[in-house]
Order: sequence, then C-alpha cells, then structure tokens
Amino acid sequence: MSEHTARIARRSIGRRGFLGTVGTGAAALAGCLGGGDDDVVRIGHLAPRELDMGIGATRSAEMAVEEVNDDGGIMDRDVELVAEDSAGVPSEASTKAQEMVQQEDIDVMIGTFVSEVALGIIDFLADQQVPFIVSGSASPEITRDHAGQDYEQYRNVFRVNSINTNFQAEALADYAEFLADEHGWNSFAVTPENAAWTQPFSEILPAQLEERGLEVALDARIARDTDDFTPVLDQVEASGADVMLKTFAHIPGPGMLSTWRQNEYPFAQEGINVASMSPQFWDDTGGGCLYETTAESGAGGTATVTEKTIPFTDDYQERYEDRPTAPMYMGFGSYDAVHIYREAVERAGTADYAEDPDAFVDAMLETDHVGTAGRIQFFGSDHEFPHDVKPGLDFAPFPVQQWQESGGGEKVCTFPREIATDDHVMPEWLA
Amino acid sequence: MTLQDHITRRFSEANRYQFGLLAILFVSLSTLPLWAPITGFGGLIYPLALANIWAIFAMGWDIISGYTGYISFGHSALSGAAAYATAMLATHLELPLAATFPLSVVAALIVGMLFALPSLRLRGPYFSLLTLVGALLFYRLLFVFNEYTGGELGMSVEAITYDTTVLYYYTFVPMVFIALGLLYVSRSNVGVVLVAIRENEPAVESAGIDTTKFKLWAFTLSAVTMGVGGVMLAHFYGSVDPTTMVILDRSIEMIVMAVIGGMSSILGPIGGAYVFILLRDTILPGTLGLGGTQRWFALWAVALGLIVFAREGVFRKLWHGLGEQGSENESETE
Repeated sequence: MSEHTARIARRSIGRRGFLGTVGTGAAALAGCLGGGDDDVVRIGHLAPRELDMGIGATRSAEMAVEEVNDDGGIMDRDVELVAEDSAGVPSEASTKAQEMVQQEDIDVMIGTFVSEVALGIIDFLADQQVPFIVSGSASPEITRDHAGQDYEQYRNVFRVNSINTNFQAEALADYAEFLADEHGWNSFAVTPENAAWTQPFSEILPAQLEERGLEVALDARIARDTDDFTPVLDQVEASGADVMLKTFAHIPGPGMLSTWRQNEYPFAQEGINVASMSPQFWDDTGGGCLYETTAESGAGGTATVTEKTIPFTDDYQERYEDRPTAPMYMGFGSYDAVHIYREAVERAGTADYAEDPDAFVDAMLETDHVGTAGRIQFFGSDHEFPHDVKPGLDFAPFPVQQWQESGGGEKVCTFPREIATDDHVMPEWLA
Repeated sequence: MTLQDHITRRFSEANRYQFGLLAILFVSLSTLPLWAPITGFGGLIYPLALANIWAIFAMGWDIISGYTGYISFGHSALSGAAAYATAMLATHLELPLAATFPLSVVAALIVGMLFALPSLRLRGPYFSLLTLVGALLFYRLLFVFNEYTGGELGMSVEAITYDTTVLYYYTFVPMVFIALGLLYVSRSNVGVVLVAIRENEPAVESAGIDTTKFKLWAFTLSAVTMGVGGVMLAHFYGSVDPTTMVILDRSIEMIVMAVIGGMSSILGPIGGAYVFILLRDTILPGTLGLGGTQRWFALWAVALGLIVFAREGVFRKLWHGLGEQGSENESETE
C-alpha cells in the first residue's frame, strides 16, 4: 500500500477504522492471492449461529472437513472450511455470501437453515457459478421454481437435506395415519407457522389427510411473532381435534407447550418443531415438552437410520459438551454434504465448477451415498424437483421423535416402525 | 474564477486544506473499484456500495431533523415503505422498474406526509413521538398483512447486479447527486430558514415566515430522498424484510450516522454512514471476528463513544480542524 493511499484511508475513516481496514484489506488481499488455482479447496458454510441449529451444523461441517483432510483431502488438496453466520436474515446472508464468494473465493456453498435465506442467495450463487448444496432449507421453491424452471441457470443447486416440504407433507400424512392406528386419533388441526417452507403444509397436507380418511378439524396458519398461544390452543380445542399437527421452525414454542401441558388441553402436540430438535429443549421447557413429537432428519441421532447415524452422533457428543449436545437435523445434512461434495469433485476430476459445470453436475447426479441421514440420491434434470434428495424409507426417511420421561427426559424415535426404538406414548391426561 | 473558487463559493467557505480533503475523498471514492482490488482493499467495494445507500438515508434524515431540529425517530418507515412498495408492486403486479421506482418514492412520500401533516404544527416532543410510534406501527403492519409482505422473512426482489463494481457505481452516482442537491438547498436561503427554525422558531414566525410550510418542504425533500434510497436498498439485497429495512434500530442507525458525521452538514452524514457501515459489516465481524451479540454491542459502544467524545461529529471536527490549520498558515504567510 502506498503512503498516499494510506493517507487517504487514514483521513477518510479515522485511526481505529484505519487499523481495522488495513487488517481487512490484508485479509482480502490474502483471499485474492490465495484462492482459485491454489492447493486448497474452500468449502463455504452458512448457518444462523445464534441458534442451536446453526451451531450444530457448523460443528458437523467442521467434523466432516477434518475427516476429509485426515483422509488425504479432496484430490490431494487440503480442505478449508469458511464458516459464516447468516443470522437467519436474507440481507445479512447476502452480504456474507458475497464476501465468501468474492473475497474468500469459496469453491462450494453448503448450508442455509431459513428457506428465505436460500432463496435470497440462490440467484447470486447461480450467477457466480458456485455450487450450492442446501443442507437445511426445505422449501420446494428452492428446486422446483429454479432448476425446475431454468435448468441451465440453476443446475448448480442440489439439496441433500432435508426432504422438501412437499414430501414432508405426504410423510406427515403417513404419520397421522400411524397415530390413528396407534391411538384412534382421527381428527387433526393443521397449524403451520407462516413462512416459505410451510406452504405445502397448507396446500397439500389437508387433502393428503382427507385422502387417508382422516378429518381436518382446523386449517390455520400461525403468525411467526405470536407470543400468546392461549387463543391458538383454545381454537384447536374448540375444533375438537385429537391432534395439533404443527410445523414450527421459527416460533420457539416453549411457552405454548407449558400452557398446553399445565392446562391439559385435550389434544396431542405432533408434527415438526425445530426448537424441540435441540437436546436441551427438555431443560429449556422445564420438561414441558413431555409427549411432544418432532420429525427430524437423522432421527436426531436417536436411532439407526443408517450405520453412520449413531457413530457420528457419538463422535459429536464426545467432542462437544456445550449446547447443542447433538448435531440436530441440519448437522446431519451439512456433514453429509461435505462428504458428497468430495466424492463428486473426485469423480468430476475438478473443483473448478465454472471451468466445467457439466462434469460436476453429472458427478453429483451419480451420487449414491450412505450418509448419516439416509442413502442420498438426487432427482435428475427432468424431475419436478431437479437435484432434490429422494425421499422415502430406502433413501432419506422422515423419522419422528417423541420426548418421553425415560432417562430424566429424552427423545426417542417412534416412527417409522422400521427404525423406531420405542412406542409412541399418549399424554397421560388423554388416556 | 477558477473551478475551485466557484465550487467553494457555491457550497461553503472551504479553505484549500478543506477543499483538498474533499477533492481527495471524492477522487478516491469515485475511483475505488479501480484501485481497491490492486491495493488489497477489494473487500471494501461491496460494503461501501451499501454505505452509499445508507449515506442517502443519513442525508435524508439530516435535511429535516439536522436542520430544523425536529428529530425523527421513524425515518426507517419512509425508506421501508419505498422498499416494500418496490417488492410488492414487482411481485404482486409484476410492474417493471420504470413504474415501481416512481411509485415507491410516492409511497415514501405518503408515509412521510402521514407523519408530517399532523405533527409539524406541534412543538415539543410530539413530532419525535409521532414518528417513533409511526415506525412501530408500520413495522407491525408488515406482520398484520403478512400474506402480502411475507411477514418476518420478507420477500424477494430482483437484485440490481452481482458485479460489485457496477453495484458500487449504481449506488455512488445517485448518492453524489443527492448530496449535491441537498447541499444546494441547505446552502440556499431555504437552509438558512431551516436552521433558524431550529434555533428560534417563534422568532422566525414573528418575522412573518410560515415555518410550517418550510418544514413541510424539508420533510418532502427528506421523504423523496428516503424513497430513492429505499428502492435502492431493496434492489441492492434482492430482498426486503422488516429486520433489514424497517425495525426501529434502522431509524436509530440513520440518526447515529448523521450525528457521528456531524448533523446539519449533509456531507458529515455521508462520512458517518461510511464509518458506521464499515464498522458494522467489515471491521467488527471481519477484522475483529466478532459474531452476533458481541458485534452489535461493540458497534453501539463505539457509536456511543464517538457521540460522547465528538459531540459535533467526527467529520465536522476534522473539517474545523483543517479550517483552523488553514487560517493559521494563512496568518503565517501574511
């Protein structure tokens, strides 16, 4: 940096800012000099690190990168993880993605929890020709409305986890049928939170339930900033539903669960609750989550989804004692994504996507990877959801866990029967 | 008359040091994408492109609040109205930019008038309180009408470009023109009346000047500026959401930028915006590696420090320092 430039910088931003800027500039310079054609493959990871979900996912990606490096890297090149915090906000994520691609020179982007974040950076990553492997966002729009509409433009996008919410809606209907068999619960209150990922739970799930001969007593979307749940619980009760079938990722829910349990509302709490995926949720709710269920990829590490699920979870738990003490669903996705990316790059023979996109895309489409959350294969270019992970018991299943009293409050896998470790338990006041 | 004389007479009574500083800053900022990548400062182009938009907001706030002393705590509702109008018109009605841009500025103007008309005739804290509550109300409306606004996670808009150099000039050029326009107004007789309103409104009224009319004009100018910035911000990110555009913190940030730079100076708030955005998006999270809560705590702590120790604004202090330097040197040569 010339003295002249230094003087300008000093004048424009002051001493403190100047020192910081020098650091930033040096880092940026290092990034510019270091990326692209050097000996390091850079894997970007974007997750909301103020949430347990994002911490678990980042740690899981770190573990996978460490394993890959211990095993000789990718095509004999070292792998570096560039992990950033999306804060779960699309604008913040856009800024981070821009830095990661243009300053840090990442070769692939893995991650995103909030679907709106994925949708907010998808155009940028397509424009910059950076592969994007979604490991936590479930909105069907990510594949259907992008590669499904303009395959050439968005063929850089793959999703390893979780199954998209169109498939989740079908799986939840199967789960409802299971509950009807187990407990005779035939009436369901469909209550998704209001967000991009839950659209199919409003559009598809009610019809799926009715197809299975089940009753939809209530179909209402819940505002994400709801903080008084009594009216919601009263509404479900008034509908006469046996089950509140909710899908929450952003609504925290502890308050709702304690109100539900203390007042012994006459219905069960089933479905998806991301907060409940945290192993610390029992303590967070003072045990208020007893009997609640949540679906979660990788069964939250509570069951043998594949032979890798439990060893990976145990390894995670050995390394990390502070919360979250399990990878949580996105962790399984991010961990599998790193390994799948490595295999695809080695098949393609290059980590430079822009140089030969077809080689990478074809190699990804050849994926048949037994990961921690299932056997991962992708739909092809002609499918309604191109490059989406295949759902189902033979591929990526949809395990449901229930909080039970055993062991002082723990989650056990109760569905599907093929991998369940325990029976689903009815709340005592409903028995 | 040289160009320097012409410019200095037009906009201020800058001496050669002050003029030199302005010239160096202008030249270095207008050529940033050329020299930054080769000197290792390439990482500054994107945050400074964003800072240009925030500079527009800070100037928009300054022309009403800095000059007249009617402090608005709700200016993010104006820029937010424009950003959301852009997103909603593009998404729901599929209108092109040529239509969404003017309509969005009108949206900012309408929200601005809803703030200004009932409150600018009142004295005391009513204006501030009304803008504060107005912004809270606007924020909540986004959730009430979440089927149109996308609620907390907002909605997508077409991003203006992914080329950071082009993006930088898309934000830098309008920012410069807005700065020149607002400087022109603020250095004219209108500016004098606005400052007089701040200093002693009854005295201005007793001179037969309709202060409400002047305040309304200033607010109109402010709302239009906020509208332009709001549209730019929506297309900058390619998305709008309440946290980025509307939440009360954003209103406070505009004020802090203007105060750090130096209120009622138009140019000061630009500097304030640059310092604030660089701290928020580059220095604290990048260079110092602060995440989440720590970063925001540090940001507000630094902002508080700057406000306490440079009450008139960092850039005004620098400006006056150079002014004194100039007069000392001039007296030496005499």
